[in-house]
Amino acid sequence: MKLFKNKFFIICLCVAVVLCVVPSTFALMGYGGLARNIVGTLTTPFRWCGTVISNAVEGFGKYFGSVDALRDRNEALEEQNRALSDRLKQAELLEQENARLREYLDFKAKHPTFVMEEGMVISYSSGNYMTSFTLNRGSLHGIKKNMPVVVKEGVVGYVCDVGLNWCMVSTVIETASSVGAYIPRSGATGIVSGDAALRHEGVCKISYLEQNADIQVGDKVLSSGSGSVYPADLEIGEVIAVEVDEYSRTLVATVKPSVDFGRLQYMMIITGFES
Amino acid sequence: MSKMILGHRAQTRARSVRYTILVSLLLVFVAVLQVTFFSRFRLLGAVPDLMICTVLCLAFFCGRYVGGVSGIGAGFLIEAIGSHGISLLPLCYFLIGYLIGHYARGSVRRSYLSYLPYLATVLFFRMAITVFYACINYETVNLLQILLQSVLPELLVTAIAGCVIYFPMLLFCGMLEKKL
Repeated sequence: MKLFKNKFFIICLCVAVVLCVVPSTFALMGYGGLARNIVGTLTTPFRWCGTVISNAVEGFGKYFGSVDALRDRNEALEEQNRALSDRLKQAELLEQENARLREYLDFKAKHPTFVMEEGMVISYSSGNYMTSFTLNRGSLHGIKKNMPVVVKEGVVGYVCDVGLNWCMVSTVIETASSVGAYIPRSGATGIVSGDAALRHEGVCKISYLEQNADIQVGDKVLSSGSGSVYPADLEIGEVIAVEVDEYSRTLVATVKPSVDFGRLQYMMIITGFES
Repeated sequence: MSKMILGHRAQTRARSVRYTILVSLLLVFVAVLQVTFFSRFRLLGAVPDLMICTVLCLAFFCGRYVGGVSGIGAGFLIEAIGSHGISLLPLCYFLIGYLIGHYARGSVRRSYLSYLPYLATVLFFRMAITVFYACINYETVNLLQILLQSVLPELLVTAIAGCVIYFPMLLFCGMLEKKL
């Protein structure tokens, strides 16, 4: 009780009560109060200063906050980008397959009796020039020896060896290969075969053409269907040179195959056809 | 002799003026900090009552006179710049400052541990003030809701602020005692 008899305490208590009652009364009456107004005015610069500092701190925090958000966003976008790239690659593969199959569809429309099996090149010959290929189709898929192999540009060769799930294709420029052929412009006939000297140049020859046969550089060479390996009317290539064989008195022409053997990835094995 | 007395009185008056200016600046700084910085970056969703902690420390370290006067000033200042309506804080802060200054005077050693019971008392007082303000500001009062949404978060952050503010205030009051 001694505490409350203190003069200082009583004065301060009175001041405090006045400072509570007066502003409250003014506030209840709807007035701001003079003292409150003075204090508010005097402290405005300090408050402004404090708010500026707070804004700076907030901006600083937001900067680092936005860096985190950007990093997260970047990671999400990278993930999305990876997924889209994968889908794009898939779509490109499908597009390529679609284009290839469309070409074969045209080929099939031209030759409705052909029964074909598509094969993909899984390895090439180990020689300097790729003239034989291994495909991913074998006896399991109904592939047999001597079946012709074609692409939409023309004849590739024939199946020379067959495994369970693979087969080897020998091209028309190989020495072991021979195809009955004719020149559609003149009707001249001959045999297209590989030549050891020409093989490295990627060309073959057509021989046994009659000496007076009408044959010129640029003539198309098609399969004649004789020999029962190749169906008739498949394009083999184009004549690039003609010369006379002095010994047999026949014409021999050099034929450039219409197929680019260096770029083959897929080809069709003709498993059945009507001759 | 009378000249000496007059000189001593002048010295004491100058000392009091400097004391008052420094404490006032401190209170303004803390008030601005509370209404600009902490009211914006709310820790645990509440604004800590830095003013009550400052008054507590001033009373604890400097005694009941400084505590009482700074309590009135702090209460009025924070009411003037930070709120409107019924004003009660000058009286509350004065009582806190004066009483804590009075009872802390009897402490043998003013240590951090002896400070904590006073902080707890102040927190209880602060809780009562918040409940009272909530009751007069809201038409219908859900006490549980007020406790969970306002009182407890404020109590927690003010407790944290009170525990931390002890150290800078110890330095400030030490400096006041030394230089003045």
